[in-house]
Amino acid sequence: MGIVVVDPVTRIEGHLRIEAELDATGTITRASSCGTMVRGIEKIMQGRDPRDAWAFTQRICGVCTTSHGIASVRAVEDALKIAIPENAEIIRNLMNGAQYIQDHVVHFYHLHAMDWVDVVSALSADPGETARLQQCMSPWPNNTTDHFAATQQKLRTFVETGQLGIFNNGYWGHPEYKLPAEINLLAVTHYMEALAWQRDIAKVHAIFGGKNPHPSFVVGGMPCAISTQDGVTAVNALALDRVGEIIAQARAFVDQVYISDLLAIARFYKDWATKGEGLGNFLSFGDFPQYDVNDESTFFFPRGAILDRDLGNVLPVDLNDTAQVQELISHSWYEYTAGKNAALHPYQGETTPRYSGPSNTYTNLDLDAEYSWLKSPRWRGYPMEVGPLARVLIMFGQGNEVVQETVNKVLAELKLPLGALFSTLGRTAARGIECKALADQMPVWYERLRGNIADGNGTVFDDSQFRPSTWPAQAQGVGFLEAPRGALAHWIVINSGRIGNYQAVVPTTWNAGPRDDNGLEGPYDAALRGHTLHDPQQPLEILRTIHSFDPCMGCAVHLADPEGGSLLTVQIQ
Amino acid sequence: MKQGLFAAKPLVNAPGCPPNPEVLTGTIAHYLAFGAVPELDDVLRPKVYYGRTVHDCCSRIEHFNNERFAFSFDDEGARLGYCLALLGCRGMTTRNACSSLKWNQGTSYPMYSGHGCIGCSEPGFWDKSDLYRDEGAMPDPNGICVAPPPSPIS
Repeated sequence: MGIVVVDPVTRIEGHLRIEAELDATGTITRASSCGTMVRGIEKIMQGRDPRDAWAFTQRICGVCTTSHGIASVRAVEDALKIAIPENAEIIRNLMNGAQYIQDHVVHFYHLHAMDWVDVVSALSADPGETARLQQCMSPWPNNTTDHFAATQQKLRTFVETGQLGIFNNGYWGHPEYKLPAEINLLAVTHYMEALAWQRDIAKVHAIFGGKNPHPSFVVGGMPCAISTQDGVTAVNALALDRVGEIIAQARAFVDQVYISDLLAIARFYKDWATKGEGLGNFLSFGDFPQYDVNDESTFFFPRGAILDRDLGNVLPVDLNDTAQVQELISHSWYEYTAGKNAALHPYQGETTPRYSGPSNTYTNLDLDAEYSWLKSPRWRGYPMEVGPLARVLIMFGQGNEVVQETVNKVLAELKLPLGALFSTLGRTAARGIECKALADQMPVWYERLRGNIADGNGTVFDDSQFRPSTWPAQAQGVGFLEAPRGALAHWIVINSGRIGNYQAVVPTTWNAGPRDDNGLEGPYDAALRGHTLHDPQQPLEILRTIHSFDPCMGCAVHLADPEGGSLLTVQIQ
Repeated sequence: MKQGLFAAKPLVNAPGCPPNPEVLTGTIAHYLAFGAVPELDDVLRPKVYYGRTVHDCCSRIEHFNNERFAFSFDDEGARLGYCLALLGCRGMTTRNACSSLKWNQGTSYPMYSGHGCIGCSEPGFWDKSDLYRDEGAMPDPNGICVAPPPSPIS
């Protein structure tokens, strides 16, 4: 019996702590995930011009850049009943889609892969054998012995100088690494290639939004007026051609590198298809309208909820229903006017910090009291997992043919049953499956945009309600978005042209929030229960499952001391 | 930040939300090549990157010089690349390299893609004024230069 603490969890975005209680066999009996950081974005929004909110809230996170920006403008557009031009809806789809593709590839290689790939083992691989493997696996052209030998030499130089650099502090040599040396070398080589490649998909944001991270948005559409003369503004014929090329290259990378590697690696870790999912509840707000954000039936990712793994029964979700989405703070460092036990819909949301944790260095948190800066979002009182697994399951359950075909193909290749989806491996495979589905859909949106422009419709922005003089005295609305990590929404209340209340409920809060006083655990905590650690000093098993959720903690915690008091001092030494 | 805790370590400010990565790598590369930080201004920003405003080298400068402004994000002027000063652009008071170095390996920058500069490398920029009601900014008569021709998206 003991407690394993992983703090900070690395290879994520933000600040996360996991405390896992073990029994005598090294098996986790209870896990608690704790958000150890706060900021103040929702409070900062109060009193400001609603049209500015996208710029501030987008800075909640630069990893999932665009996600909060789009959710924010959608919230204001919903409140003010602004309908945006079709081209703007398409461009937002292309930007969100590009975000997914970049994010999922980077997550797989640069955040998750090191849990499964032993970098040091790659040093003993045969580059020629690796090349032969690559030639069998996919048509990807970087498949020569020299190509893999070059990576191996680079790695060798790192290791021999004793400076592992980005590969420092890994659990290399841990017996739970199962891949042959050649696959390790293949994966490390693709890690390097992906690092270079991901800069290109980001250019979709730069073209339509000026830069990545943090492209520009605007309430009422998109600010990127399409150039009627070549070269005058960023979005001209040449740039649109470039977007088409980038999409094609992205599809090739996803198919021939990411998915190919995912399947190759998954084969060796089929024991991870039976653990890592403990809740059975899944939620998606839906996204990628084609092309009306108020018409759910056109969403590429459908909206819905699944309880108890009942795939055949996808339930409807209404973001305005105060009995559905609620935030609890039973074990969170906040207070509510109505008391600790209140469950608030975000229109009535409050984000008032009340820190009661340790004041200095500490060994363990008091898990019976408040222990996290994350709130506990609930849907009809249930904790819900959000993210790729939720989306793929909902699409599967609703009979989406492309997704069903891909899922069945993947399960057949890995010789796994449908139930394997409810696991760490399933979640990781779902990320790849939805990435491919999106990449394959991008050309459809792209061609629609080019067709509209060719037909003489290049409108991207509706000016008619941009000025506050056109707004009602009071308004409220919700802006949703399915971000790479899951269901996101911003709820806004506008009074006399200024923001009265602003609440963001973000994917990692759903997934990593603390348990509530009804005894219900969140997805992370439920997923870790039952994992047996081979070596508590090297909790690789915890990392494998936590990383499969792709934590984004900067999004999950969103409050700081409203008096502007300093909560943290950093000393540079 | 005006000075570090240790006088012996050089301090360079590279502001921006986020800072342009070429500014960061360029500063480090300069130090590695010459053993010294590049020339800094009075708030310790490298002059090579922060010496001019983004207005100085903006692709829309000729329109500014000839008082051709967009009045809306998608009107005829916007589609012709007219100046965004009336839509809240803070380029005239923002020192950074965005319009010369550009972003994402020379692909674009906010004004080129149609939205005004929000001034993200200037101190206190979040609280200066609302983004679209920038009553404080006046056109700077000295901010005139010949802009480089807009380059094709690479």
